[in-house]
Amino acid sequence: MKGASAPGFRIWLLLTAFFSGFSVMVLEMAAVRAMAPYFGASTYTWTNVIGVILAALSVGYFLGGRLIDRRPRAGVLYGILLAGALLCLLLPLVVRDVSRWLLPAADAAEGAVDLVNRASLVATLILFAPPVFLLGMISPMTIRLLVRPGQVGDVSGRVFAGSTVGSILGTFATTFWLVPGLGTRGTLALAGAVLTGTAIVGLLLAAFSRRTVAATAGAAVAAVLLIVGVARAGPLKTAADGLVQIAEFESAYQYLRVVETKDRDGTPLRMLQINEAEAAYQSVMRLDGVLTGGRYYDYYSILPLLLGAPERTDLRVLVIGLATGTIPRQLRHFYPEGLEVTGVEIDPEVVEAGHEYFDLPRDAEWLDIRVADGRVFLNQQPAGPRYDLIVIDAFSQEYYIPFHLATEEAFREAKSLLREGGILAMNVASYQIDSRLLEAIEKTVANVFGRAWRVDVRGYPNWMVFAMKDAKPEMTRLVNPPRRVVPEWDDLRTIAAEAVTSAVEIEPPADGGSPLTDDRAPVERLTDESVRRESRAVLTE
Amino acid sequence: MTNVKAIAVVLLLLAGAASVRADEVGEAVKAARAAIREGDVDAGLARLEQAYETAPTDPRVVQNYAWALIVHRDDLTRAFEILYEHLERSPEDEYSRGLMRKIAAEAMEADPALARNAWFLLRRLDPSAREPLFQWALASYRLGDRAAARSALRELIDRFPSYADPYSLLAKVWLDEGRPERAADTYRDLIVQRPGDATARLKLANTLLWELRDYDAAVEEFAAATDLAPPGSEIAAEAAAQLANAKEQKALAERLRARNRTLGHWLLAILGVYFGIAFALTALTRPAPPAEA
Repeated sequence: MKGASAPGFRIWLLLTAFFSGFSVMVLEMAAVRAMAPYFGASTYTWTNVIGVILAALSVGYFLGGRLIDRRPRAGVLYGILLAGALLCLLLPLVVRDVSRWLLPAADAAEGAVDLVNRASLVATLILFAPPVFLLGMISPMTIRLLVRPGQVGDVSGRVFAGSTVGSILGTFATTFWLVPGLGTRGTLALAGAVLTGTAIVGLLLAAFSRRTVAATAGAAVAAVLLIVGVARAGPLKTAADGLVQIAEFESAYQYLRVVETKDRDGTPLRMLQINEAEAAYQSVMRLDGVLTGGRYYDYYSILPLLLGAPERTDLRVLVIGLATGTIPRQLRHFYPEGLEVTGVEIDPEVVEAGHEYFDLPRDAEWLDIRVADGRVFLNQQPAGPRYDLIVIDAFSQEYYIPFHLATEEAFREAKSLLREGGILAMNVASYQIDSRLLEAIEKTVANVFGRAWRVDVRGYPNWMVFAMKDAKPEMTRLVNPPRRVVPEWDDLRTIAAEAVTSAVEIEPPADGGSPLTDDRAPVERLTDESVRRESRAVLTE
Repeated sequence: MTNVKAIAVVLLLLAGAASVRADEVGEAVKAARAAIREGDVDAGLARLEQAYETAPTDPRVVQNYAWALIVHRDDLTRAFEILYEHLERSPEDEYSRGLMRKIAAEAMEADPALARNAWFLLRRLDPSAREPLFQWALASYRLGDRAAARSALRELIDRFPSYADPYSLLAKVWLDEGRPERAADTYRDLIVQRPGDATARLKLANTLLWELRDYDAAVEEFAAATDLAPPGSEIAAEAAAQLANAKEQKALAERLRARNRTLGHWLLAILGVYFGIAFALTALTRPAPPAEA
């Protein structure tokens, strides 16, 4: 093995294992981000990515070991590494087109989750299995090239340790620096560039000849061309028919885009979408007013009627899951006198999008915006009631309620912050009225407050679950609210009257039931159940 | 004889007094109406109120006072109270029944609790009529009392099987309760009674499409509704639009299923290729047999 015994080259082989481990984790972490705009970042997508990558690695380990035993040459290792590197550089250029080819935007129907999951699995196999398979070969090859008689254990340990340290760095760097700083495509390109450089140096160290120099120069040129291609690539996601894309960006949490379309009645509608959403949204604004055409936001705006508004003029509201401020905007419009709103949003990019595109005020006296995790915010509040209305409208990924905001402990925290007669309200996304997710949340709320109410948001797969602290809501206040000369007030009165017809009182289970707790809150599994039932309804013949 | 004469005189005097008083009441009512006609509503109402205090059982006073409260004061609650007592005494008073019906209709949106009470009374006064029972069910529904609404609607359907409105409202109740299959069955029952009812077909079709996702059945029903609806009517236009929508939804569902199947085939193909490559490479990299000693 030419040059392989030289100390410098031995160090380079160890570094190769390090860079290979680094790049594998970068690929794994970035894979979900890269495919999120098309398939989402649900537990299914993560499972597909992790499963495929582990399988590719294991096959790579197995075949890499056999191959290097047959041809124990450093050139073989670095040739394979170079091939893997160029595939990495190709990834950001083809992810979008391959993903769209497998699942066109028109077929990314809301609710067809089995279809999306299958497409994400196939995409992962096509896009990420080949480079990871090649990278999986590197560790056993490195061990074989480094090993000396009597030192198998020592060499194996060093290579695994080096590779794992590289993986740790790749994991943290991807989340905290690379994706936020370079974006997903830039991150993948960086991994490819690192591997290309490692391979070129390794090839030259292994055998510095005219042929090697020519081959490595060619590889370098190819790598540069691919990197330039990545830098000049178009948007991560193109808008489906009927949508006009205004902006897109990546935050540390998700892929975001702002689109415009027409609502069911033809009114222009601006939406904030995350990840794979084509018709779904995290935030919405109709350009002709504050109400959202009967969506669940409008139902929150009727709750102050139960608190004595509009006659009452000192409402203090907490919104967890502020997004771009749809709820505060409505409350300010209908109940401006004395209103104070605190809005909590975990993703600062979402808040910025709100300021830029959704009329979220930057320095309003009545609105206090906090960037924080909602549960952490609740826990950190000084003891004592101070809010009349607490709204929980938080979702991670497309449709998961963060479990720690749907537990008995979280509701008790919220209740302690409510004034007497105050209301806690929560948006629950469920396709079915009899889903276990909806039942679990409404029973948990009822357990904490003594009773709860569930209201059907007609025409949308949403439910408003709410409860009043130490009092029973006078639902008749929703039946006949006072008339006012405020734009869209009559529409709100209609929504209030509709809410009464679908409202159901929920009693806590007599035996306490199995409420959601911090220790046990399978919110994601229950959500998946509901979504999969819907998916089966759509996809089963 | 003297006692009989005395009693007769007293009775005559009382009758005369009553007659005079009745005339006074009648005059007061006339004056109140005149004042209202001339635009002085407050004065007219004040007179009627006074007359009511004096003669609360006089039908003329009750009718006019209630009418004025409804039309000129929009005080449906007070009008209801007055008429309720009156109709308990004089259930045959058709004019007062009409006023009570007016209260019930006007209160339905603003005060369904009041409307429900009004229709309850009207039901009692005419148990065989269908409209009071239906309106009572509707008011119950508006108040969120779906169980009561359901019970009343079932009774209506049993007694008046070809009366369409209860079926529609009952189906709506079922949908509110997350029972779309029951809603669909309700519409089917209506169609059995009224096979030419395009609206019923349309409602069934919408339930089949949006709630039950039975695209084939929905398309069939939309087509039937289109055929049955009068040409050029709103129902015909809506049925045609929804028929196109249903076909689109059906095509989308079929497309999604086809894509799901295709992806399944791709998955198998890719796994097959990868396994093939792995097996081939495994065979090619078989370790050389150890050299014989």
